[in-house]
Amino acid sequence: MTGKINTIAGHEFKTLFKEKTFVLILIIFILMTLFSTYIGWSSRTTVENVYQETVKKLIADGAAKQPADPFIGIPVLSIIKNMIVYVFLIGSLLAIIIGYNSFLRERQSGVSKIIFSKPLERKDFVLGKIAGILYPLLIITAISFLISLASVSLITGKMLPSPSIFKLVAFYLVSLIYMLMFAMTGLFFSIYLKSESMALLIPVIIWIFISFVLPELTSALNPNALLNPTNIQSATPHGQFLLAIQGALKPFSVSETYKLISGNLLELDSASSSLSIMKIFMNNLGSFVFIIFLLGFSVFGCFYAMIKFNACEEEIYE
Amino acid sequence: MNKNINSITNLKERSQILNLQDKKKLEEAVIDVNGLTKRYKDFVALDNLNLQVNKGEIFGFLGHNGAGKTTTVNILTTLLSPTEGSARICGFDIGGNSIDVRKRIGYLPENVKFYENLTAYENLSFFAKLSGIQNPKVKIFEVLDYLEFRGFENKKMGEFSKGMKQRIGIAQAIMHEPEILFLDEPTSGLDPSGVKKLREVILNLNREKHITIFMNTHLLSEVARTCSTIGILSHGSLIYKDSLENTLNKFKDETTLEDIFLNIGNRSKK
Repeated sequence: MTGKINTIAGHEFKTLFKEKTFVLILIIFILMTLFSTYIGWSSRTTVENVYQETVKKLIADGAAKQPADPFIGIPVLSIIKNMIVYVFLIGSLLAIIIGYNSFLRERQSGVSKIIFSKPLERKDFVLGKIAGILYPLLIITAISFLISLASVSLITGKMLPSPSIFKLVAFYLVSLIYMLMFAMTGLFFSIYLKSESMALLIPVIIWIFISFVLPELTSALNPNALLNPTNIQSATPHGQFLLAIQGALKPFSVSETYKLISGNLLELDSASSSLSIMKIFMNNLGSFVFIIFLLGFSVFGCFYAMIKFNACEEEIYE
Repeated sequence: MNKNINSITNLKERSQILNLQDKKKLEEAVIDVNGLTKRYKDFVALDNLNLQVNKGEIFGFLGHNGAGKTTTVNILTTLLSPTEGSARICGFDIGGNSIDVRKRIGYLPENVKFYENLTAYENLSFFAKLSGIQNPKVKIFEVLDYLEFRGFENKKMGEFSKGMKQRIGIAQAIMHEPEILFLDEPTSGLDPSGVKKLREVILNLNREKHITIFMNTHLLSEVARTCSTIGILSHGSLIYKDSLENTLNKFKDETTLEDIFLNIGNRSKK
């Protein structure tokens, strides 16, 4: 990376710290990670306790056969399954704010005229901004990963096995890509649109469409999939027309792709625990490539918007 | 002779001294504008502007509000693309060699703005790095010393007065030692002492660092005290350009520069 890209990225990161935006988002993520582990552990413990009580009662009643432990075969990583929901609902929204804020800062402060009078290529400016957005997201996901790893290991009383650690890493990488896609969307609209309110509103509408509308159209009849990641795809009682729509839109429903891949990586059921990381990605290759395509498209959009950006937009008739 | 120029109040005496300084310098057009036109749909902001500014000049670009002065500076600083025409800055085309142009210019926009929650030093450090300065710290303190502005570098920009911001604005514009400094209404919003300080800085930059100054203004008193050459822009067209000395000689009957400005304006209307 050239010096000027680094300068922009470093400046971006420094300003995020000064504005306390980064610290606030980091705190939210740490809390989310801790909560997801706590909720996972708590619900598991509750069910386990109920099971133990039931078994005791059955034994006391003289039952010859006891039901199987409901957590036998359920991998331990599934404890943090709520992280999937937090990332696709809250993480993506926070990413939009980081991206949107990134260029708004120059717009609001009015320093863009000075910046673009310096010997700086606009592509370098965009690359610096992207790096400046990537760094904090990377730090946030890395810290979240370490907390997840430590807390799951603490709960189970032993270190996670290597394959599970790799799956946890892969989950956070997918989460990073997913959030980066929204951050780039926020950055694009903050450069492209003159209206600050529209520059925030449109990415939020896109977020609503991706997070709620598309899943409604593709998996509405499988309500569990809307909020809780699940691999169980029950047959829908609808006609062929709706099925055709669902089939056509499914590959483009990126939030569902994210939930599905993440669900498999966090081993939400015994079936997915046997899948390798490669197999999980290969099973969802088309949809995952679509997420990467959207990320690339929004990055390209940022370059395009920056070339078109007029640093003198407030004074064109002077 | 140079030492006392700030104290000379007689317009003709001042212009003679400035003109003499000019003649000593190379007669080299560092700003060469040819047929520059800028249209916004039906509105013509600049209409076939032709203009040359020589090395070492302090060029006062005069005109009423909306005449096209800021548009000209925006185009010459490569912030805006012209609809037609071309311009060369220090021999580099503003369209094809914009990075080379920017390396050679400094720019102080009207109502200069900074990152308010960062200190003056942090702002200057950022702009110094963007300008490609290898050792920003040394350069920042050198420039702040030159502008007699040490001691404020750790204050946040949000706490600065307009005049202080202008100084930091000048600092960011001259840190990389540009050949040309573009000033867009530099005295706008400043109190009298701020105006006086800024005037001294402009004259010193020209005299000591040999920076060519291109100054947009509609304050004739400032032009009279600072500039060696003036150009008058009206409705996007250059209607007058000459040295301050020649201008004062041509319009001997007019008592003030304001009268001369109105006279030229009236002539162009006819």
